[in-house]
Order: sequence, then structure tokens, then C-alpha cells
Amino acid sequence: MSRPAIHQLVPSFSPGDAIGSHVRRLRRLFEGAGVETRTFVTVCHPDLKAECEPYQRASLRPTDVVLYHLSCSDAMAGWLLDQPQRLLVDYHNITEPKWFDRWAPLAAHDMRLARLQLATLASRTEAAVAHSGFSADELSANGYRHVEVAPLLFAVPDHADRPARPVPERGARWLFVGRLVPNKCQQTIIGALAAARRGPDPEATLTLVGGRTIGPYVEELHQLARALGVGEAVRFADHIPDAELDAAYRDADVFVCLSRHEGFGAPVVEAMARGVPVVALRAAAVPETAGDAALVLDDDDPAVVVAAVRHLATHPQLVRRLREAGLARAAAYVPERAGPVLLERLLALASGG
Amino acid sequence: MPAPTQATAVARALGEAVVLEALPGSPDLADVRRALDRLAPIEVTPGDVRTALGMALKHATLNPHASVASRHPVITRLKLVVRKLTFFVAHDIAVQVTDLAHALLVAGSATADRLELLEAENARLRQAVEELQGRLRQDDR
Repeated sequence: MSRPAIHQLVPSFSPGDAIGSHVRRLRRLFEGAGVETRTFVTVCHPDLKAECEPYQRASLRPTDVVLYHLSCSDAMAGWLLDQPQRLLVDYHNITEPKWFDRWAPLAAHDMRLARLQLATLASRTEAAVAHSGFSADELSANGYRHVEVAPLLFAVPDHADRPARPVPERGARWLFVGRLVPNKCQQTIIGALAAARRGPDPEATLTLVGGRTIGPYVEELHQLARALGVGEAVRFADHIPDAELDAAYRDADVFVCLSRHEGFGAPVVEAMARGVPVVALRAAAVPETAGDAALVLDDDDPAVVVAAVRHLATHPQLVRRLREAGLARAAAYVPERAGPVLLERLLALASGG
Repeated sequence: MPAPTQATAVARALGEAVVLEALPGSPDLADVRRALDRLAPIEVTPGDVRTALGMALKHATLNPHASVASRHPVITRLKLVVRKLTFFVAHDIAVQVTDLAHALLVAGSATADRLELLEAENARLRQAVEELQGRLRQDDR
């Protein structure tokens, strides 16, 4: 029996973001498996124009399968309701609007609309994949009947080029990677860094890598750093090329993630893959992504975060154990291993399995 | 000594945090915590007009200084030139829109006051009606 064509629909298709990267890798996997596939979009980055088509011009056969990547609101969701093809959803999670109400009401509105669309598509969707149990639970709560957890495809190095080293007691270099958005709580990391510099490590520094999308929030972060006297110790690195990102991970002594909402938390895995010890907050999907390969805290109070980093500095054996556990955990997400797992699940779902 | 497990390490770190902060001469983190509390998200529950107005107030003041940040210094300078050239227009619009937003907030605040008065009056009248109905039932008996 021949396989049905599986076409990917993605509202915004860009080479620089996690969903764009996932979609492109998945497309190559489909093609490698001999599955006919095309990518349909609402908006597309100029560099990817040759790889996609506007969804309004899609002429699909009734026997085709449509895989919709859901993470934001889009007119495409309404269009899908009227299409006869079987629908699969790849859910990349929608951030809770409450994080954006204060800083970007329009973005918060978009998130509320996206959640309405998520619920509306449930009855139309045959099966869905999520990239964490946290996101899968959300799908089930919204009425999705057949939900599976499958890996996200992103760039995970298959070896750590950063040599194993202890966390220094003085001058530790903290790192966090993620867009500067309120749900990722970069302000809490800045607060913890200020506490560290007043206490056990007056030379600690922090690098925040991530694009600036919410201007007022970014401005507040700069003001906070200055107000707490750590303006010179915090480096805002913006969105940086891959080579610079590799260097940032290589230079870091500890990866600190105090995010309150993550559908998966890819940078946590990226840090582990490079052998950087991770301190993270138990929130949303982060604890399941980190597993036993990070210090997962129940509290993001500055004193607790500082104590956790200090604990790593004074326990090199623990750092070694976390490094080994982290490398093993990250290995499961290397695209060469994660890709076939995701492909197998999607092909089974597309065949009605 | 074997490396501690993750759970043990977290528990120890929590203990160390408490002990370190209680030590004489340890840094005062009250201002750090206050600063972080100030940036906490604001949740507006359904019907909570006052919190919604408070949030609107935070967005009511427009800043005419658009960010000129860029990875490329040339683009930063170019943006700065454009910003200087258009400042008088941007400033004028920002002042007008800010005034409009504040006027709308005053109207919203007055509406919230009125709603609360009406709700209180409604509750008082309901109670009075219930008392009268109680008295009627007693008279019927």
C-alpha cells in the first residue's frame, strides 16, 4: 500500500526559529522516506521562498494528510476547518497570555486567540503530537483524542567540544539562551546574579542570548540590571549566529534557566549537549526535559538560585555527574536519533495507526 | 565521597540558602526581591475592571524614542539619524496619543466607580426585598 502524501502547514516559516528548523528537518525526513510532501505557509522568510508555497494556493487531494504546526493564531486554522483532508496537529505549545498582558497586550491577545483555535481544531483533528508531556496534557485537556509525545527536531551537537571543568567559586560565567520575553523570566536571573555578586561570588557575570521582541520588557531588564548594580556584569547578546552561540556555551560555567513557561525548553538540552551544568526551575515542561541531568529547583528566590550555583562550585563531583547525565540525555535529541523516532510516529499516525 | 544525587543537592542548596542569609553580615536581598516583585505579571481576572485599568495605565504613556539597537553599527547610526529627523512628528503624536489614553483611563475609572456604586446599591436593594419577603411570609402564617 502506498503512503499518503503528508503536507506541512506552518503559519510563519523562518530559518532562524525553532519551528522553522523543525519543519525543514521533517521535510527532509519525509522526502528520505519517499513520502510526497510540500510546505504551505502564511508568511515566509525571503530565504525560504523556494521551499514553500502560500496555503491559499494549495491544491490538495482528498487522500492527502495535512500536518499543522500550531503555536500561534492564524487564519490558516479557520481554513483547515473546511478542508476534507485528514488533519494531524504538531503542537509546539502556546505561551500563557498572562505573561504578555503587561508588556505586549497585542501579543497576549494573539495567544488567547491561538488557544481558542487550539480548542476549535480538536474535533477536526485525527491525532496530534506534542514535544513534552506538559504540552500533551494541554492537548488532552482541550479535547484532542489521540495524543502522542514525540521528539522536537533541533540542532543538538553529537559531541561536547567544551572540556569538562568545575564551576569556579569566583568569577563564574552564567548563561541563559532564549528570546527576551516575560515568560522566560530573565529578570529573575538578573536578580539572582545581583545576589551572587553581593554574596559568595562578587565577580560572577551573566550572558543573556536571545532576540529582543518585546521592547518595553527589554528596557525594564536593562533598568533592573542598572538598579541592582549589575549593569556592567550582564551582557545582552541579542540573537547571534550559530558560531557565536557555540562560543557562548563553550565559555559558560553554568546554564541558569528560571523560565516559567516552556513547551519543551530546547536550550536546556543544548547546554547539556555541550557539557554545561544546568540549574533550572521546576516549571512547565522544563523538569521533564531536564530529567535527572540538572539541578531542578522548586523555588526561584535569588538566595536559592545563588546557593544552587554555589553548591555546584563546591561539589565538582556533582558537576561531573551532571555532565555525564546531561550528555546521555542530550544524545536522545541528536537529530540522527530523534528524527527517525518522530518520522515513525508520524507515518504511523498518517496511515491511521 | 560519592557525588550527591540531584535531589540531595537541591535540598542541600535550599538549606545553604537559608543558613547563608541568616549569617551576620550576609547581604540584604530585600531590594532585589522588591525589584523582582515589581516586574511580576499582572493577571486580570474576568470582571476585574480596576486591575485592567491599572494595566492600561502602564501602556498609556508613549515613548517617542524608538530603539536604535542593531548588531550592525552602521544600521544603528542610520536609525539614529532617521529618529532625529522624525522626532518632532513622533513626539507630537506620542503626546496626543498619551493624552487620549489618559483621558480614556479617567473615563474608565469613572465607569468602574459608577459600576461599583450600582453593584452596592443592587446588593442593598436585594437585601431589602428579601427582608420584606421574609416579613410577608411571617404575616401570612
